[in-house]
Amino acid sequence: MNMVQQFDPAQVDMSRDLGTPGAHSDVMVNVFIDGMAVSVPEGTSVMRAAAMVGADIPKLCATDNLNAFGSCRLCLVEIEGRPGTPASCTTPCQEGMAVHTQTPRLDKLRKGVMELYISDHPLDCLTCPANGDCELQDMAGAVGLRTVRYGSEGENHLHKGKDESNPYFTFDASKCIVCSRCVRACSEVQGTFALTIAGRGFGSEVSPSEQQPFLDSECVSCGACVQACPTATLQEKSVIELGVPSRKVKTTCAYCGVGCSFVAELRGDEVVRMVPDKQGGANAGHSCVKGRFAWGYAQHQDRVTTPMVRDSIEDEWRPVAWDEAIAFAAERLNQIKATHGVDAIGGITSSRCTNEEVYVVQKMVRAAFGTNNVDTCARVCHSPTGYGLKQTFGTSAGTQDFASVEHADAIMVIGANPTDAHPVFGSRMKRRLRAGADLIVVDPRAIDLVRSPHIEAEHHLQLLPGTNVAVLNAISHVIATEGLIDEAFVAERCDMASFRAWESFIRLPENSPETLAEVTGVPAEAVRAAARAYATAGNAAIYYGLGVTEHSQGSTMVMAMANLAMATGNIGRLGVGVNPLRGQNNVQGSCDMGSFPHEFVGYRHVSDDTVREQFSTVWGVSLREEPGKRIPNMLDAAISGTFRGIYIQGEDIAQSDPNTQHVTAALKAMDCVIVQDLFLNETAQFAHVFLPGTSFLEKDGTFTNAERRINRVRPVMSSRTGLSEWEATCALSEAMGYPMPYQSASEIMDEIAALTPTFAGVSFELLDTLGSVQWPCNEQAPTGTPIMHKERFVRGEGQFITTPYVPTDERSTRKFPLLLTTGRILSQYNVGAQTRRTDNVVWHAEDVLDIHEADAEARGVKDGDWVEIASRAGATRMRVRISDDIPAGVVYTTFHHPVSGTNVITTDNSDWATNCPEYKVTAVEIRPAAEQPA
Amino acid sequence: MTTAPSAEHQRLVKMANQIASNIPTRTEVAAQVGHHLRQFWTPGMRAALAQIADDTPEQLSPEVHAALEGMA
Repeated sequence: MNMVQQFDPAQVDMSRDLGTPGAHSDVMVNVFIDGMAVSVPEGTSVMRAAAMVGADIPKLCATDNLNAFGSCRLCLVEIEGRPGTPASCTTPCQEGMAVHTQTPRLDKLRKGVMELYISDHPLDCLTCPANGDCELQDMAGAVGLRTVRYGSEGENHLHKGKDESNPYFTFDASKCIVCSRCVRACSEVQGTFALTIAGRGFGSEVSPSEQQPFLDSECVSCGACVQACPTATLQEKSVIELGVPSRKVKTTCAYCGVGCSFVAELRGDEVVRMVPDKQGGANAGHSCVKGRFAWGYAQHQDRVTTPMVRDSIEDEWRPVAWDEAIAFAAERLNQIKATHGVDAIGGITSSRCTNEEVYVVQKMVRAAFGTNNVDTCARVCHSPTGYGLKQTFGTSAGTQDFASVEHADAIMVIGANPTDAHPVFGSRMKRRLRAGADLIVVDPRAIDLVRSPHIEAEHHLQLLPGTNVAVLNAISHVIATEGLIDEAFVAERCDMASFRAWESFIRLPENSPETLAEVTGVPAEAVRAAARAYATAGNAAIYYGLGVTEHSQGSTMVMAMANLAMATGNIGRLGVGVNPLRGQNNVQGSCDMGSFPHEFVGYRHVSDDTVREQFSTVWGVSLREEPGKRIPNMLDAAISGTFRGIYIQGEDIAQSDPNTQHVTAALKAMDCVIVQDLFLNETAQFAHVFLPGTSFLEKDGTFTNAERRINRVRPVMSSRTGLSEWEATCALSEAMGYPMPYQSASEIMDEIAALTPTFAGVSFELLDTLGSVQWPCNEQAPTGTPIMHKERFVRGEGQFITTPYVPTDERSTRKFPLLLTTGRILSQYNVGAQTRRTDNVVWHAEDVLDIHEADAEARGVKDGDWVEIASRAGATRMRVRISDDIPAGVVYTTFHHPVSGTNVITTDNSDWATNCPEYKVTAVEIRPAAEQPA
Repeated sequence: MTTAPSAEHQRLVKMANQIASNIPTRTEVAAQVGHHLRQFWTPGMRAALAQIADDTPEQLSPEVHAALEGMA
């Protein structure tokens, strides 16, 4: 081993496939790969060590997001002092090991193996859709295969047919080499276990569920199998149709708050496929059916790409040039201002838009409109998160990064359904659960996590809708009265006066599980067991969703969770925390960007003179010191006649907001409704100006996901509307007399950074260098902050807040005896504007009402029947599905199709602190209905 | 002649009473309600609430009345 070269691990290109996953160990071992010395963590495979130094070993069954399998026999190596030729993927490096990856003996063995593979593989490379993007083809080249001695007359699989049932990918069994990468991806990465290898020996074949077509199987179409496949066996239909992509652009998904990074692969200006980015901080190379496949809406024929105006909502739309549309909108808004004052107009920002697009809208409202009447769609989802976490911890954001869940010993999921609504994070969570973390589910429904392959919730507190706070109080009562409080953490990190007040309150008998069992429907012993599990786990983490926030006590519940985490010391390190799972991809960002009527960017109140002065100086305009109207207040004022014009960015309030009749009456009452969107949505029926929006494939900017991760959104194709959304907003602002002369989205972010302490270090340049960054990102944390509140809370000391349970006004009665709760399913997204315009409709053609068998039977309703659902607010019709996922007395539906009119029946009850609507509790009655809705 | 309260006024009444009954820490409730109204309500909404307190005081809880008095 003379002339040894020492390899520098920092030189490794981590975007390459290193064959096996990295090992985590503080112990390093030194090995020699073809004479090159390299130091790797103990447990690293020989294959990975070799790949790190650039000595790629041929492989087929290995890939670095799956555990080593050792089946393809192509990655054989020779190791000095050892007999045989072990598989490098399953052989760990040991101190001093000397490995040879290329020898005459290995060449011969590898060629022999490849011959066998190729002898049972169609030799149609030139016409194969994976031609040029096929690992089997690459490996045949790598081993120097020139001839196949076995002919093609013997028994083979070449006659096997294709399964084309899935709308997005094809399974061509004739090309399968049974490497099991797809099966392992489905198990290890996605955690669905839909695939297996059926049969034995030569008869082995990949089987979805029990040899069913993919579409009929348990497959969730996440695409992990397609990505893992080294041949064209599992192939995107778009690649089959369009060909292998020729260029790539990294960007960020436009769906849920996980904010997955993708590589958009294109031919010219046409997207061929979206591939999850292995280096994506949020998703680490995984995806779900929406992000991976459901991007076709961007080119859907329903998309409107030309501005339109009309004098009255009774008139037909009139397509016009941008200039005319902007002038029309500006004139109307200025006219309203002149006649009725600045408080008569306002705007709504969208969590589907970039930080930069949101920032300019709220700036336009404050500076050009002259009012703080700006709100955001987060009003109807996570506004209680903002209120509750700011009161207790000092800032409105989740405490952890997603990777933190890998260190949790107990996971409490409250009012969230990660496998459907945040599927990529759900897969990450499931991996930890399969590794042994305890699971506590607090939900009226038996969500998938309660019982799914290799996962079973140890505790499912199946509470009645509307009793979250009572259950959390009962859990905290157990912790306080059974000596489970982390006294040292509380003493060191929290405000003791507030703790003592909280402790006195929570110990009251009225908060005991026994007292509250009748209210919550949860047996006291189940609450006690869950409380003990959470408090004694070691690292306990809370993940929650809209099942927490969309209640009359949504804000109280957020504070109750924060109290629980502080009382048990589960804040400020890996594996713990209080983590909101945000619904839309930029909920965090739209809130960060000053979209609320009482706050400037960075959650600073408009009444703070110092802050207001700072914004006034930079913006060159006087700003108001009083809060503006929230969405419901704007709508109420519209009906009263005092609010007459609104700019709605990327939001469909006529479908998504509660009490549809009230919303539409308010929109009808206005003189100027401006809708900026991809499609003529339900709200656009009441609009006078339609400004065409851009899809995420056309946007240039940033999204901020649920873990505060700021990711770049890069334009994959040119804008189909001729303007970016921020340019359209700036044009309107200028037409109203307040120019915003930005030259680029990057310049807008620079202004955000200059005005926002938590964003001070953020720039497009930094994001392009690091890939992404989690705020706070500033001088103290130049590369961001994955975990918050480590040494101290943002507010200094953690603030306990007492949380009395106050029942909602919305209660079941003899007239409305059932409680309706709502949610989301995997294939669809929010009001369905995007996903309904993709092939995802094959999984969800309509919304249905889930009902318990006993409730259905009592009403003479059978599975599949149409029913009328009536509440105090209104009535609609749906088909029913008998389900044992919900208890008797509770019904459940989704709101993905406008025809369902789910929000016709939801009421305008809302969270006491934030007005977040109480979507999760509506008292209803159902009765059989003969016909479908019109 | 009495007119039916508008949806806007009904909402303000409901919001104010709900804030008063839900303010978490049950000490100095009126002051907390007042603080909340200043933090999150527009001056117009606060003025409308004060008018409701004068016109139809029975609609508002004692804590809301106390809060309005404290803000005056």
